[in-house]
Amino acid sequence: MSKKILIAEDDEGILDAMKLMLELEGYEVRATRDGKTLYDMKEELPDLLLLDIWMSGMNGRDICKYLKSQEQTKRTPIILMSASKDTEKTAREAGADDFLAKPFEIDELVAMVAKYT
Amino acid sequence: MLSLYAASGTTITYYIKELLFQGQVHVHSPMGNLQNLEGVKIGIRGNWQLTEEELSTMTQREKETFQELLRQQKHQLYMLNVALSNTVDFNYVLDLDGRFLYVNKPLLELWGKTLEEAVGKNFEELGYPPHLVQLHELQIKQVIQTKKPVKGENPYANPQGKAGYYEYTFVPVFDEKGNVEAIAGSTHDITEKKRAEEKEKNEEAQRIMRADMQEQYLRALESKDVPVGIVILEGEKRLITFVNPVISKLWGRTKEQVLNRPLFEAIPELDGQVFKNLLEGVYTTGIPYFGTEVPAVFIIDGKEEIVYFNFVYSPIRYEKGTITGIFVTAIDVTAQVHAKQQVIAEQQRLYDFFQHAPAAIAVIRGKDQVYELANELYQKLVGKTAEQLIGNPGRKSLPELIPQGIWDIFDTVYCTGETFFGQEFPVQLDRLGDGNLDQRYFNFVAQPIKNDKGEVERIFIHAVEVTDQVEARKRAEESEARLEQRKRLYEAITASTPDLIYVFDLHYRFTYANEALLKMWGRTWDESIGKRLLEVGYEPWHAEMHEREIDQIITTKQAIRGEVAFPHATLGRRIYDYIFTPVLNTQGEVEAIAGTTRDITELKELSRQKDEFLAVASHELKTPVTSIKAYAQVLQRLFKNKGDAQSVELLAKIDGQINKLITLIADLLDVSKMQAGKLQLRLHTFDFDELVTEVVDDIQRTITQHTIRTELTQNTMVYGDRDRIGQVITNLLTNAVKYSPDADIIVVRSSVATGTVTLCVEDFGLGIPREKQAKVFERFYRVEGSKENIYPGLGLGLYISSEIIRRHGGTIWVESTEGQGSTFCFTVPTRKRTLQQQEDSLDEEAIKHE
Repeated sequence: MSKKILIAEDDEGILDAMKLMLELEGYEVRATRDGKTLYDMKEELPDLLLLDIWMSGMNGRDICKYLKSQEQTKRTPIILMSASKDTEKTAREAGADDFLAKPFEIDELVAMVAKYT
Repeated sequence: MLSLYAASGTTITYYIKELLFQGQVHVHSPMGNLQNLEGVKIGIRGNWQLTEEELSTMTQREKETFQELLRQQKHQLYMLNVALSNTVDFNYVLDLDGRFLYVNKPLLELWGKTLEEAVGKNFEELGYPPHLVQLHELQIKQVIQTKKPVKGENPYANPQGKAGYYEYTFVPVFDEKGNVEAIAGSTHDITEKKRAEEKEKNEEAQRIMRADMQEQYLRALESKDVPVGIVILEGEKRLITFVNPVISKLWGRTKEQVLNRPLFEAIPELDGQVFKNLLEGVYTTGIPYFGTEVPAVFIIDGKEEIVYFNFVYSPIRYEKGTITGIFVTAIDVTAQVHAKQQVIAEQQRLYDFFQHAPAAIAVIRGKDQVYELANELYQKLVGKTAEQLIGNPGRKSLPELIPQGIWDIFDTVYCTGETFFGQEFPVQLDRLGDGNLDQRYFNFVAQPIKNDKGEVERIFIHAVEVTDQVEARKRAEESEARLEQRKRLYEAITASTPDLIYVFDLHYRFTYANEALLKMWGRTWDESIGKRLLEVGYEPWHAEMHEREIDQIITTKQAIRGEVAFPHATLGRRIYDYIFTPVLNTQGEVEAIAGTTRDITELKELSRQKDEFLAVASHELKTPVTSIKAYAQVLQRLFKNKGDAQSVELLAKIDGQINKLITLIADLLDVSKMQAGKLQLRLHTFDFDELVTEVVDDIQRTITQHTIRTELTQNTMVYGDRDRIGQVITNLLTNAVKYSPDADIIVVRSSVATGTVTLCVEDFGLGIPREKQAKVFERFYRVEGSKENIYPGLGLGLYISSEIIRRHGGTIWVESTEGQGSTFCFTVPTRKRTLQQQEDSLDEEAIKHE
């Protein structure tokens, strides 16, 4: 059974490319461009959440903190993504299991996803 | 009664005796025997007549007897008279009142009177001078009282002027009772004898007196009080027979040493001097010699002493006129001579002073203005020699002054007698004598010198050249004018500039503030100048900060630059960039602090906007680049799965270019972060050599031409931002590859020192010219290659590297030789604490700048 990966990313291009990449690797990929939906995530939890730090006015770190504080979701691995390496520290502080700087190498992404699934 | 006095001589005695025999007359003998003779009392009154009464009482016989007696007596008396009168002596009888009873003929003749005229008269009535009258009256009284004769001697002159010297004796004539009843006198002319005596006495007296005087003179001349030196030289040998103390003192020899010795033997040093010949001359010619201020050299105690003399050599003549010696009188005038010499020296000095006076001095005489005097400076001043000036009329000596009217000025002084003062007077002089006139300036005085009659005879010219001063002043005036102009210029500039320009003194007071600054403060000039920062409205922290900066400038003499916010009077809070610069005086000390401040609020805003834009832009760029890269990689994988190697290769190239784009974007983003002070370091301890190896391996994978050789330390742990330091190493290595296109090797070395690690990347490429080596770390610096080698890039790599190293508290530098290659090195601290301190201090700096 293929692992389920949720990508929360507001840029359509990145989202699409990542989805293609991970599906090529055999993952079941869902994607959302709206961060708010993640707060309602209760059932059908993914095996890994790839979360963009900046999503149209929403702070990925706050979502990460929230999910990591919820009993149902706290065990779900979260990788925070950012175009700025400088945010890695705060990302980790927010409870992220890992940090992925954009742009990234496909190998890098695949290795990291494999690590948490 | 008849009393007779027989003065002397036997004849008289005889007659008296005759009279006595007849017992009728009292006679006082010359021998003093008193004899009381009996006889009749006969009253004889001059004319020998008896009175009627006497006759009446007489008998006839008596009368006859008397007559006879009288006849006899008369005859006897006559004879007596004849006898008494036939002598050269004067005989006379005086009564007790001093009246003459009898006067003999010689005396009458002397008086020039008859007997009748003389009898009964006293001395006074007979014309004796009062002193003789008085003397004789006294003598008569004495005779009467003492009853003894009185002798005397008197000169006497008769009324006819016949004068003589007389000795006389007054003898008392006694009556029967022994009382003096008359005085008989006898006077003898002793004129001749007296004269002889007198002559003899005078001669003796004179002789004595002369000898006495000579003695006295010589004695006096020997006195120490005599200021004149006296010497008597006798004979041809100039034997010293007399020398007074003055001379012996001058000679430096005692009297005993020289007396009775020849002069030139006693004082041998005089031998060779002029005196010998002079003395010889006086001795032979008899003409005295007067010497004036003649120097004589004496050797006293072995030392030469020069004494100046005024002296006279006078010949001493024997009675017949023969010269027997020389009388020398001499005065020591050494002091006067010295004084005179001093005066002369003084005059010489005065002349010298005049000649070498720091002022030019000349005297011109008369209408033609003939130069009488012109000192050296004057000669130099007018460019003429003494020969050209002295004795020549001014118009001839200095014709170049004629058209300038200088001689006319002296003419005026000569005619009016009024002094002329020339102040910075221009005179054109031909100093070099080449006909070219040179403009000179003088302060000079032309002062008339008048004679007794008040006429101007000469003009005294006293000139000081002030050319240098005048020219200096003119230059100063010109430079002052220029300065003034410049000041106006500066004022115009400072007034029109929007920048703030000001000057502080060393006590933090504003001494200048331009329009813009006054406007910013909202204050007037008067309200601001001389005031300190606090007084013109700065907050205490702000005023304090600037004052400390001023202190620092005074100490270091280095300018200070800073940024600060200040509330503008009308524009509100603004950001200012300011520079304080020391104003140094000629000694190189800070005398003021000049400041310029620029309102950079807009600039700051623009810069912020730019950085923000860069940040946003690069961030926004990253998003599509990320998706492009992702699509490319997906595509690459798809082709790979299909076995389309060519497409895979092409997509790998696309990916490489995308990576370059990503790097450029990252650099831009880094720069904007650095500008905003937002470059964050993610600090932790890492293995430095491992990082270097990792980066070198990464680079080596992408290059083929170059081999990167490493000489590394091992297990050096560094506390820092691993990614950022890696970024620096990457940058250095990519540069090394990029700028050594013809080389095939790159050397990377690391080394450790106390607390630091150093990494160097050496290439063997183009190298960097020396003058550009410092610039390579500047933002946007790009290497200008030759036409065929244009090196791409934004010129940010080394700037970012240097910022990263700086933020780590390290240093970065380059060593390079153009054409041979470059070695870029950096050093970073290894220890945490050092870095932390650096971070702290950087934080403070960041705070200050915001």
